[in-house]
Amino acid sequence: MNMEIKKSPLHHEIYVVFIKDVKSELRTKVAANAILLFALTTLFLVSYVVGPYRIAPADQPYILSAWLWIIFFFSAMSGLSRVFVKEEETNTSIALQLAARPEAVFLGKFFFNLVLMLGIALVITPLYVILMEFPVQSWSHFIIVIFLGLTGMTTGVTIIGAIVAKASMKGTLFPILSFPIIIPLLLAVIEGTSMTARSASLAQTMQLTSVIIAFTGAMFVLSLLLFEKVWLE
Amino acid sequence: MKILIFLWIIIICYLSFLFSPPAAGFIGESSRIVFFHVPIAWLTVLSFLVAMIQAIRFLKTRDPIYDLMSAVACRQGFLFAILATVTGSVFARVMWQSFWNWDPRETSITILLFIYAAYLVLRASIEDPQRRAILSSVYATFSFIPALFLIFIVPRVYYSLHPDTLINVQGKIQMYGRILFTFVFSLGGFTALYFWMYNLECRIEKLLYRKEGHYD
Amino acid sequence: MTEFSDLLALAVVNVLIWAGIFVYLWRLDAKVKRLESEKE
Repeated sequence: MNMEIKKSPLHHEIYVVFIKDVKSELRTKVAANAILLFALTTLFLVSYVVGPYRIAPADQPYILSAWLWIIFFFSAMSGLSRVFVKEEETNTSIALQLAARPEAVFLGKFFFNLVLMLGIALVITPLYVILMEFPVQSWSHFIIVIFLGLTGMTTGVTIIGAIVAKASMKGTLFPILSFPIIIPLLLAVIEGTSMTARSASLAQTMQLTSVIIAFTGAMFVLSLLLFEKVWLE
Repeated sequence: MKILIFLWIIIICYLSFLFSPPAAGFIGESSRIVFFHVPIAWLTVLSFLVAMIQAIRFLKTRDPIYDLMSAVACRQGFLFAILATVTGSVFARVMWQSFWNWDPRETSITILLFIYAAYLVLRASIEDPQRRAILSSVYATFSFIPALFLIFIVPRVYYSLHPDTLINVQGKIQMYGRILFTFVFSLGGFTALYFWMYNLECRIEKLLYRKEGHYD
Repeated sequence: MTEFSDLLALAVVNVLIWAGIFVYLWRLDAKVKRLESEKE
């Protein structure tokens, strides 16, 4: 019997994977809640324990930037592996392997993770700026850096989630594997965020931004290439 | 061949302690550690490269032996990273009176250490040999990009922001005459030693693999 | 200034350590070679 499966266009498959995850997430809201709660708890802890007045104004850009990204990073660690881990746990992984192309699965889940993180950022960032009195000098730069940073983080971390889903000790393994990968990006992004709080030269900002974009781009391409090996049995 | 490598290392010892003079700008004789510390750091990077290449070969051919050879490189690279960090820290203590400074290069070697450690943890956490091979190879390949950034880009970008780079100072110091000779000689000797060590451990892995069918 | 004899001592200690490492590696190499020829 000739089993010719008609391939639907890539963007359609990506969309389907994405929507499926969104729908299942909206039903239970597990990942979103986990990330949100983690982020809020850390934020309030930092704000309560240290607060904006205990840090010298000269140090504020660096310290506050670092904390913001620590919050983002660990929030990501608490929620972004779910897209893959839940497929393994509910045994839908094989079905998904048959239903969609690996690239589509990766991209669909990547966009899901990205939307998740950006959503969290929408809540956390304003709160952080208000509670910690983050002295943003250039709002456009600030928003761009946050967006680029989160995109880069999600890019690096999605495929790690896929790897972790197929291993054991998934919860603890995810940060262990992700941290060394993401650190170069975090260093650049934290520096970039601190630049928006103090007057930094355009040259420096450009250099840092190009590092961030280069890193994200390289990770993205490599993830696309490697994902198939991880995903297919 | 092995005798040659041994003699090479012995000569390195002679050269680095007795032949070359202490470098200006360093406290006392502490510059001599450069002849050991930098080659070891180089070996860490070389190991990573080898590990990545073997990992890619595995992913292309699915022959488990490549994955085993990749793991060997990672284990050795981990060892070298530890040695590099320790020797660097000792040097920092002598030069700047503190064991650790979070200077960009120091940070990079630490992260590299973490990448190696993460790889080994990943390997340890998967039972099925086939799956372990695939996932470790993917991780080794994937982490090459961050490693590249750490080794080459971070020190360059952050030198402009943190003027107190330690090992970059070495790069800036002109090496001349005996010091340069000793340094290059040491670099070559350690590389030769590495290839022998790597070859040896790979042969052991191959033997174990043949004996037990599939073994870790 | 460090004395020449101090440096000499350091060099000798180094050589000894390396000699130890090499003896270990040589014996390992010989063992592996033996096992390899056995397998054939």
